[in-house]
Amino acid sequence: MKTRSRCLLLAAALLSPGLPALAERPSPAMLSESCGACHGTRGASAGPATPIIGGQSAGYIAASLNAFRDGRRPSSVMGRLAKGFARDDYVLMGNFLAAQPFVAARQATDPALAARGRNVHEVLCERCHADRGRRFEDREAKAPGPILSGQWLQYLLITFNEFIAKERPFPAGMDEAFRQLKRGDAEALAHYYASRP
Amino acid sequence: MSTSRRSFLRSAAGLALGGLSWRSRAENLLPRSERRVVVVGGGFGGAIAAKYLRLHDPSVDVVLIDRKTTYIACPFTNRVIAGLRDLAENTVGYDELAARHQITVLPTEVTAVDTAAKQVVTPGGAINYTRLVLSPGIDFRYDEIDGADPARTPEIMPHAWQAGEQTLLLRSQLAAMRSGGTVVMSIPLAPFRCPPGPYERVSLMAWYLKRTNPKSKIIVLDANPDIAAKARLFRAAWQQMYKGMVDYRPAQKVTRVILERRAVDTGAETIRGDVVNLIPPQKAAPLAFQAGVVGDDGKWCPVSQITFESRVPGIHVIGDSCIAGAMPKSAFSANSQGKVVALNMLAVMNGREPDAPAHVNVCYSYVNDREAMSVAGLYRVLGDNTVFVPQAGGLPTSYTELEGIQAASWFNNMLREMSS
Repeated sequence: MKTRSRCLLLAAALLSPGLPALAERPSPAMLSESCGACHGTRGASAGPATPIIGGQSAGYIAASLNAFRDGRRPSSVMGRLAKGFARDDYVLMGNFLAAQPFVAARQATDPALAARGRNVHEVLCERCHADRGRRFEDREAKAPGPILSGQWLQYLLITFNEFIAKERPFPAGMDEAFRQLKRGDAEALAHYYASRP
Repeated sequence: MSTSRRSFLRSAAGLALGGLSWRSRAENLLPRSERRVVVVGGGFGGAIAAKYLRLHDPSVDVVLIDRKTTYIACPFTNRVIAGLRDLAENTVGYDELAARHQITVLPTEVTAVDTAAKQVVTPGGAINYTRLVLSPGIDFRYDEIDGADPARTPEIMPHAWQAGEQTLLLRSQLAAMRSGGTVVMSIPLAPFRCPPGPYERVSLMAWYLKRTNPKSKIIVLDANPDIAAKARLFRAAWQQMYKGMVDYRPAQKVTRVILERRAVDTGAETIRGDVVNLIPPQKAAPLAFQAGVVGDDGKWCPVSQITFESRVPGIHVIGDSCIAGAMPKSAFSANSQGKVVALNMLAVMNGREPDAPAHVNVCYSYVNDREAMSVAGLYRVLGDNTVFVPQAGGLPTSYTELEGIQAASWFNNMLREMSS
């Protein structure tokens, strides 16, 4: 009972920032640096299944956190963690991380797959994942997207599988591109983006 | 001051204060600095504190002291015990951290903390500090177990709760165990370092023995009333994969050991093991006691939940040694505390209001060679306590291979962040 009432108290405190128990909201650095243990210092991930988030756009980071929170995107721990932040915090974290450099992963990729991926990319993906995946061009102005170029291969493969397995809905416009992929194209794309500096 | 008067004071103070005057007279190892933070303990807490101090304020001179030149991390050592990983993969150095952030890294012992003179004393001389961070880790309460002692007991009944030789000793004992032998594991009452650690170890030892020694068994004597972390999933894993091999007995506290028989005693029963993994109850490391920052419980260090400043002004304590409310004693907690102490110590030094702490804890445990499960939690300060944020956190529905992949990635980042 004691734990429960304490939990309710905390919930109340977090929901109403005016309560004296929490003197102030954590700063953007305070909120964002805790991401570093899993995502690398300032978002430069050194773990192959964990995405590089430093240098991604603030909008993409906030949208991702919202999707984790609402269960629209599968995850290991992010779905659970996102629920503990205020939605306003997502914007603070997004701005903080967007101001960091995107540090491309150094990793081995398959050159033949990467070459095949490049062809697929140019036909289907370059329109939005511009500059060979280095930038996101929000053409339909519907949802912000990530930098793909230099992202970790293992993370890209996991993410493509989430789309293929329909565990995750496509952002606007991406379903049409995905329908045109042939068997093995998604893997080739992952190798292509991962091979980029 | 004349030599004779000085030596008189030295001996008089030495008698009265246990050698304090000798400490304050130690030659300086580094030139005095008016803006220096000394961090003692180069683990997940201390290395991160040193790094983030420099990231936020390059005007602060940061000295990181650890007795070793390399750090052997504890997470993933249960995989070493199961023969799935080399201990070298758990070992990092400090060269890159020192060079990238211009941190002075000193591999040396700290023999004393002179709180009056604000300096730490090492065999090579003293180092003054403006503020001191202690992240010294744990020590064991062998004195609470009859027949046990800190020197000989771990050689016969390894704890393997500090990574290194102990890890390899338990690994070799397990590999050499007779066919059909018994492993006895003793788990202390919480709080202890890494709450899910003992249960992950049970799982990975069982995974190993199932293949190499299928008639053997593991008796788990847990002083706690139930599995202390990820209980539902560990129970499911043992039921599904290690039925008949893992004999889990809650509320069984080992109070006595008979080393020559490799036996442990719970008061109700004496149990002999071919391998005994005795994880003793724990307390803050000796340095915390030397510095006078341990609380009235004689075990752990009470600290401000905002700045991690201890009962001794100017000395901050983070990591397993400190009491941080609901936060578990984990590598990830230490990492989180290292960042918070850096931000809020600098706030105090620079005359700003400290920030509201926002802590995270994430850890993964394997149940076999491939599958793992995570636990996640956010922690905030409420009043004078650090509490679990109830909306966040918890366990996944099951252990999976994907979680196993995420676990390896998690650990890559944890090691990389503290060493670069």
